Amino acid sequence: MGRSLVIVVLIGTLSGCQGLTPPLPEPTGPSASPSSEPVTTDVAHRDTLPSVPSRSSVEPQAREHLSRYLAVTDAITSRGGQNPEQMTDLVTPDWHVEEKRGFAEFERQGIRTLGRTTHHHVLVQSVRALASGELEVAVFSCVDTRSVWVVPSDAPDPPDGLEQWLDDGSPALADEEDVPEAWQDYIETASPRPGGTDPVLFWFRGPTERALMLDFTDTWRGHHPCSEE
Amino acid sequence: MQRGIRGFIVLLCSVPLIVAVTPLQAWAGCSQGQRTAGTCIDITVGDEDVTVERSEYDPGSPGSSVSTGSGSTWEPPPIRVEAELGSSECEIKIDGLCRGAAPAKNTDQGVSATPPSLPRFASDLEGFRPTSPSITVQPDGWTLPRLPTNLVARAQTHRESGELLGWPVEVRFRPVAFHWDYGDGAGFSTGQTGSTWGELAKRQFDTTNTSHVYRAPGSYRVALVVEYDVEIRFEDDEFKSLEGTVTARAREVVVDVLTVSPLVVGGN
Repeated sequence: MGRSLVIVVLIGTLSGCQGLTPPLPEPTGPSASPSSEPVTTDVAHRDTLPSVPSRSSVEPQAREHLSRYLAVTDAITSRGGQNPEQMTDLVTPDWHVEEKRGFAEFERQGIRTLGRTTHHHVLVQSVRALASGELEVAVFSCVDTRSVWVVPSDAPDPPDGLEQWLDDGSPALADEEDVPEAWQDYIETASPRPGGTDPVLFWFRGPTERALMLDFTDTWRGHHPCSEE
Repeated sequence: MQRGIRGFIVLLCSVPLIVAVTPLQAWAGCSQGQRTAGTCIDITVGDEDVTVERSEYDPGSPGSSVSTGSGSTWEPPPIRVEAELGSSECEIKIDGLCRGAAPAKNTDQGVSATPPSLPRFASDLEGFRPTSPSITVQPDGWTLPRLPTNLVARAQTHRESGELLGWPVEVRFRPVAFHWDYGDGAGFSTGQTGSTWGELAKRQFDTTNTSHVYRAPGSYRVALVVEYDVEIRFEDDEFKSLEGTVTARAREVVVDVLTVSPLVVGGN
């Protein structure tokens, strides 16, 4: 008989033999007091309420976008801050203002960079749906600029091999290896300043996890693993 | 001038600029370009005023130097000032963005430990989840078409303990919204858990604030998602509400809506 059982309703017993048709009440929805007016919604609409991608599912896109952002930053700063429009597609319009302010500082100070920014310990901290319908993804990462040198824009071109050495992460030289004299001369002339390792929170937002744009960054002040190698 | 070395020691030349600003100045965040340029502004707060400090560096300027030395080992530059942990000048909070320096976990150096700032959003608490709610159906597991079936959400305020960034915290979850999916295409959102007929001193099949009427016989899967407000506190501190809510889904229950066949008995 399956799950659909047949119940014999003893009309005579329940209704006192007042008729053949049982006086079933009309369908009524849940009643509620005015202070807690219920909202009836269709299922499809209500199912969208908690449907936010998991942290693990958005991590690949967040990691990729972070890499692109840092790579484009390196490209622009290596030109002394010129052509900041290259960043337009990666950041929100509001944050692009801040980006341009940073790149303008390179032009103002007459500096540029050598080397490549890297990142590690990437962790998606939260994913949530904004009232606008967009996704917001907060990502923690250690941003490592120890192999990025800030040098005067009018310094001579770096000698052969130096930029590649920086791009490789400026690994320690072997004991027996000599530093080329040209490198020494360049260092004494340009007085490069290497960066450090910063714990940074990045907030991305976009219509989907595949179309995220950087919206804000902030230095993380709590415990962090960035000093770990 | 070739020298056998293991690496460079780079001596930095920093020129700190101290600028007094009003306490109302907001933290602006920094682009990566600003961090690389060394112009990322850091804010510190004293008893009376707010101080903005930034370090500028002028590559190539007199006084800047890079030296090499035989026998030296490669020394990576230290973490910048703004990332330094445990410094007294960073034990502040501004608009929730400066989280106060947190000493490394398990420090045994007698340093006054300051917990990190609490997260802003409830969704940030990935490590904490409310206990799963449950569903009570009346009648239990079956009902009749066109009669109110009473559905009650079983969820209550409760606390969870754990660690946040190495610090013991207590999280309090309070159910605030209940989203029902009756399995027949209808749904219902309310701020009430509902009550059993017994608790309401009502008769079976009476209408309640959370009852639902199935129109046709069949087997329906009832689902419930509960939204919780979240409060959090470190030990001996006050609870602080976080923005947003977290949700927990109850285990679905099956309701069999039975077929009614009228049968007259005992008629004259």
